[in-house]
Amino acid sequence: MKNSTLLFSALPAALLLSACNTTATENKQATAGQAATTPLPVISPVIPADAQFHEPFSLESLQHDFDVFSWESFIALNWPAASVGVADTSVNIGQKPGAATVWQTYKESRDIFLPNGATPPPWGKDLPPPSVCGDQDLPVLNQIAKVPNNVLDESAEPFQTGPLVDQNGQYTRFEILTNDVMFNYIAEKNLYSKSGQEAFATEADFPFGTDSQVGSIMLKASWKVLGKNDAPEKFHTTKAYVYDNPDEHAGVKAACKLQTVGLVGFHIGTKLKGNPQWIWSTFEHVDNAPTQGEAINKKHYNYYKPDCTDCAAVNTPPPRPWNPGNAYTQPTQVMRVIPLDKPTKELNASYQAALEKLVPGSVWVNYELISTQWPTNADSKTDPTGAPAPAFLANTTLETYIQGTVRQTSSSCIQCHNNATMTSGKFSDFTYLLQRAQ
Amino acid sequence: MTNTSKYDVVIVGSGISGAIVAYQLGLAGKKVLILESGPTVPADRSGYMETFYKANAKTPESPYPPATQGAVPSSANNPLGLPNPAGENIPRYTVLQVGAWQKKDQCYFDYPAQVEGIDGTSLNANFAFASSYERLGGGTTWHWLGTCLRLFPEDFKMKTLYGQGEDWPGGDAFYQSLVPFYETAAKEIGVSGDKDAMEKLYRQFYVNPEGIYGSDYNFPMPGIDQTLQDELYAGITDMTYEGNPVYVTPTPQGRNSRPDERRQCAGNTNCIPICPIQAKYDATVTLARAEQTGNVEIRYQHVACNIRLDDKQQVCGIDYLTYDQPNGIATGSGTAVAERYVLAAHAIETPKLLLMSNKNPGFENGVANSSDQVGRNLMDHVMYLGWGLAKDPIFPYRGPLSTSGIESLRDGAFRKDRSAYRIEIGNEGWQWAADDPGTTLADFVFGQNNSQLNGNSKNKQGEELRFNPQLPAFSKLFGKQLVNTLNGVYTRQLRLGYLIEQLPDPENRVQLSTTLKDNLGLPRPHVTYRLASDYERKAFVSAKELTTELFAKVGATEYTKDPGAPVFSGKPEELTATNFQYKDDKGVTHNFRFYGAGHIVGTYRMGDSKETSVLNARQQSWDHNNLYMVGSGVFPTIATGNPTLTIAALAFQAAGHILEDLSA
Amino acid sequence: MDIMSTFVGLSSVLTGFAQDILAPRLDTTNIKTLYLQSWTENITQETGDAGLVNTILQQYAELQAAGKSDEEIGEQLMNGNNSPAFVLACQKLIFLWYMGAWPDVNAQPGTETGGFTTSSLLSAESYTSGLVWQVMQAHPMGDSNYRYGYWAEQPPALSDFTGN
Ligand SMILES: Cc1cc2nc3c(=O)[nH]c(=O)nc-3n(C[C@H](O)[C@H](O)[C@H](O)COP(=O)(O)OP(=O)(O)OC[C@H]3O[C@@H](n4cnc5c(N)ncnc54)[C@H](O)[C@@H]3O)c2cc1C
Ligand code: SF4
Repeated sequence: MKNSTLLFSALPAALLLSACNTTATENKQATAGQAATTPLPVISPVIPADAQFHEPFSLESLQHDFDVFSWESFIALNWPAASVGVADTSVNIGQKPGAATVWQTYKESRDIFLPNGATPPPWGKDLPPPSVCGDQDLPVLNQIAKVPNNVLDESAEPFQTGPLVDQNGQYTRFEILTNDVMFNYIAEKNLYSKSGQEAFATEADFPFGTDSQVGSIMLKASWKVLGKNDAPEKFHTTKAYVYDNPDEHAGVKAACKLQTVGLVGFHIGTKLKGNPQWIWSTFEHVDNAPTQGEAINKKHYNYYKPDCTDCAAVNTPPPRPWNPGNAYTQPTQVMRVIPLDKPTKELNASYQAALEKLVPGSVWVNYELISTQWPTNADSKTDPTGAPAPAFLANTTLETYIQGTVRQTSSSCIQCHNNATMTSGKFSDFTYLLQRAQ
Repeated sequence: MTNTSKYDVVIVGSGISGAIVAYQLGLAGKKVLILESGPTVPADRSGYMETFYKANAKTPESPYPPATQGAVPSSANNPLGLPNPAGENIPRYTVLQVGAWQKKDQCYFDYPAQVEGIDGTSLNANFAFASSYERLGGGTTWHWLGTCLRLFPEDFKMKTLYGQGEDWPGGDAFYQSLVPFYETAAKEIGVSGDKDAMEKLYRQFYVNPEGIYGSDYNFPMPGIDQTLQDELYAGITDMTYEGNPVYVTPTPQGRNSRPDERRQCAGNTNCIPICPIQAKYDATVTLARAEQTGNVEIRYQHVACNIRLDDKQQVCGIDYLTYDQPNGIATGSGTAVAERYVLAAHAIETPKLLLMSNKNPGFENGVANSSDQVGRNLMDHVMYLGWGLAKDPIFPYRGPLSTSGIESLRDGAFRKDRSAYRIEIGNEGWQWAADDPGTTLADFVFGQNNSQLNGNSKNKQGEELRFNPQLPAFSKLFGKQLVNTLNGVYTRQLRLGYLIEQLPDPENRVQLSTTLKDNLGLPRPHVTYRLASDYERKAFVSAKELTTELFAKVGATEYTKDPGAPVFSGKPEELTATNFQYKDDKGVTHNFRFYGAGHIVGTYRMGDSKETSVLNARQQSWDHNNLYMVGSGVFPTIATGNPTLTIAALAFQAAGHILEDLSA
Repeated sequence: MDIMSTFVGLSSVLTGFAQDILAPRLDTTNIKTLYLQSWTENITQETGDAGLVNTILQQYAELQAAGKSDEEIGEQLMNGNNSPAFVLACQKLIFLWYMGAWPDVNAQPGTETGGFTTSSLLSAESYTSGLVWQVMQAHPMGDSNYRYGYWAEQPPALSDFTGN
């Protein structure tokens, strides 16, 4: 004590401050160095029930551990499916391009919240596509028993911030899904209908995971229709009914087309033990958009045209009227606002290398983790959001127009979902899904 | 000149009134062009939010462009760095300008010189106007509170019932014709409200509940939960005041009590100046719906500056100027042409536009102004603020800025004599009243007493106001004692706001400044504003008296500060802006300061006759029948409710008239 | 103890908020760094005394090392024999933590108000970090992490906010 007192009284304050900063940077470098020397990560079809933490704990170390959890989840969820919710362990991820993944067999929002609050079909069963899609069956894509009725019926980002239009002038499509744990809770508690929610006396509280059991998982995926200048071999693809939903915006006419779509964005929300705010992982296709302040060095981006003089302003939605049925809409010019952290980039590189090593040419090397948001103070009595780190997190395909670093308005998974409620006005446990009940 | 005659209707202004008209016309397949002077609605409100977070003075206008403070380096004469309106393309009046009303390089409005030889009670004294508005896509509802009250039938026949003010054209019949539009307006805004509570009020004022809220009518969403503070007043059950019962009514409000396409209110306690999560309705919602029809085009940064008439005295075009930078040069000009025209630029800019349009033969005093009523009868709800400390914590600064009010005093026989008012129960502690939490904090940290909590202050009842009598005056606290003291104060802060009905006065008016211009060379408004009858001043005395009574009733200590006597002459910074006095029957002189409610009303009023009004009851110009005007400028009186639900209802009604006329 | 821990300890004594509220172990905003910097720069500039900040920190550290309680340390710092500039610098630090703004104090002793204070915010983040919102058991205006209807319920206890 005496020593340090002497030490800093001898130094001018400004110097002391920079000394302080140096320590922080040194720490970071240490973590980064570590990541670079560790062997390639293990690629496994098992969805992790919990994250593995390594002492000594710091913001950086915990971020790393959560990021590893995110990658493990992403890989297991994107493993080819053998049956509903079950991975096909006879193959490796990347070996069956275009095969339905585990998560694609999960329950889609349109199969949960039905007109008039009708009871949804049980886990593993879904509804036929909208009648305009015709009765054509989806071509058999793979060997698994259940062929999902992939219907992409959403084209709007949350809170009417706008659609995302790709370089071919087509609207990006979205879907939200839940795993069995989450769906069963909704089904058991009758939370799929307005009346069920009205009768539900408490706030929603989806099951946590345990040390060994996977808890509630919700997913949101964004897909682009593959077309001109898109290289299908770089995407995880699927055939889907791309449906223009008249309920989405005034003036939209029901229409449906079976198309090949490529995965461009992927959110995973997991209710991990000890984290009532959930853990939020978000992934993107590596070619989505360049980052502000970094080099623009790709010839082709999914949502950015380099050297463009007559493009829309960056991160600005097209003017209304919005209509996914339009033959062509001026493409959105997207840039990432918050750069990826260096340690996350390094982690991405090591996972991508492992995926490539496992299956050379794997499409999955074209995906990257943007970050994982987690509560640093999950049990806070005064802050229900638990002080998330990082404070802001956005996926350029899912929160295109609200990227940034302004509290309450810029995209932060936990802060925003903290306000989610059911149709009854009661807290819905961090999901906006329940307000879709009719 | 651009040929833009592919439109059926041109609308000036994209606030709630313009947006509603545009939406309705667009739905009916009419082609609409909106000229909006301000910048486009941003895809993300983060920019506004960040400006707000950083603003030292968190005024209603603080989030919005152009910057209201810190625009120039601060100086002794301009501590907050207010911009010079002469250099701005779309200057607007902000509440920071109220105190700077005599500084022409800071205040957008030009004011007449103060009358000589007056005292505080003189009825001809000039004051600063105390309310503000926005000029940007979506207009002023960006920072409205969201209070959505209907007016009462009595409000529409003040002259007949009380011999004061004016009747609305048609009186009762006008009210009845408006009822269905009130319902449509509430739906558009998505009002959350408690039907039972409103019916109690309507019974009191003889508004037949069957006729008004039919059994199948209900608010679009259930009422917003009331605050802990509301409960305190809700305990008042046996009180009457000047013949009326006194009770609390939950306020119907334009914020989501349930989620829909926007989020449910999360109580960010920031409805004014900006709701971060858009749980509060603002006109950008309706504007988006209008654009979604595919028939409405909005041109931003297009400043309407002149209305052209043809030789049949019909409007044949509206000239505009365009700009790229808020302080840059004009970058273009043009004329918007359509069959019909609607002015929706709010109650300062609309009359200004009419008056600026003075080149048309026969209308040298301005378009639509054969009555000479354009710009006259400028009104606001002049506000009295009373504040105090509750006995026990009631935890303000949490939840919407106001969730309840006292509506039961909005009409009565007293209205012959003095203004009626509604009372808003404020949930922002002493933020508005005393610039808290900063004032109280500075007092207890630095040993000052601007909050009256840390010195030798007494209230008018003679009660000692020092928060902790065990502590010496001018205490400087730290650590636990600071924590406990601040907690004790902040969690008990109460505020009442009285929205006092101001009578129409033809001399309260907007004219064109003959000397001051904005950056586009357009004349700035010259505003004459007075409290020229004792009618309103007596209501201040009543408000003061009732505040004391209400606080006593709930066991609170009153901290309302005497604002001091007005200063009418001296250096610009010494002059008061809104202070006045009233000498009551007992010979007691009361000092008052009025605040603005943000309700700018009356400058192009409707009426029964061409001679005394600008518009007929269809909100159509008497002089030019293809010209309509909407917004609170059309109100003949300001009445006792916040104006915007009525503005919205009238806009729906006007849209119907325009559609009728277009198909005729 | 490094300078930051000393600064946080001093800040805790002065503000009445626990150290792990001012500077949580996992500190996502790291507002303390901004405050130490701003306090140092402003005090140095205003007083012209480049050593004052360190004098204050050192005195705190010594009292702390001597095993004094927070109350005793506070008394000693604020009501001991320290110079007016020393005390004012401590008060300004309190104000900074509470408002996230740097104060300009116009003392007018002997008047009814004792003078007045204006202030200038450091940043958007310092506004939302202000302890003043915590001490009132609320949230920064415009930045609530609570949920619909919370205002109809009692808030968490004051001690949950202050950590003491
Ligand atoms: C602090 C505050 C709180 C309020 N709270 C409430 C409340 O709780 N309840 C309530 O009922 N009311 C409230 N109000 C009042 C309410 O905000 C207004 O009544 C309402 O917004 C007016 O709508 P408007 O469409 O008529 O005008 P505005 O919304 O002002 O729109 C006018 C538009 O015209 C544009 N314009 C101006 N000049 C030109 C020009 N020359 N050319 C082209 N365009 C132009 C402007 O840019 C603006 O967009 C409040 C007001 C304030 C200031
Ligand atoms: S209280 Fe907050 S969330 Fe609710 S409307 Fe007001 S600002 Fe928006």
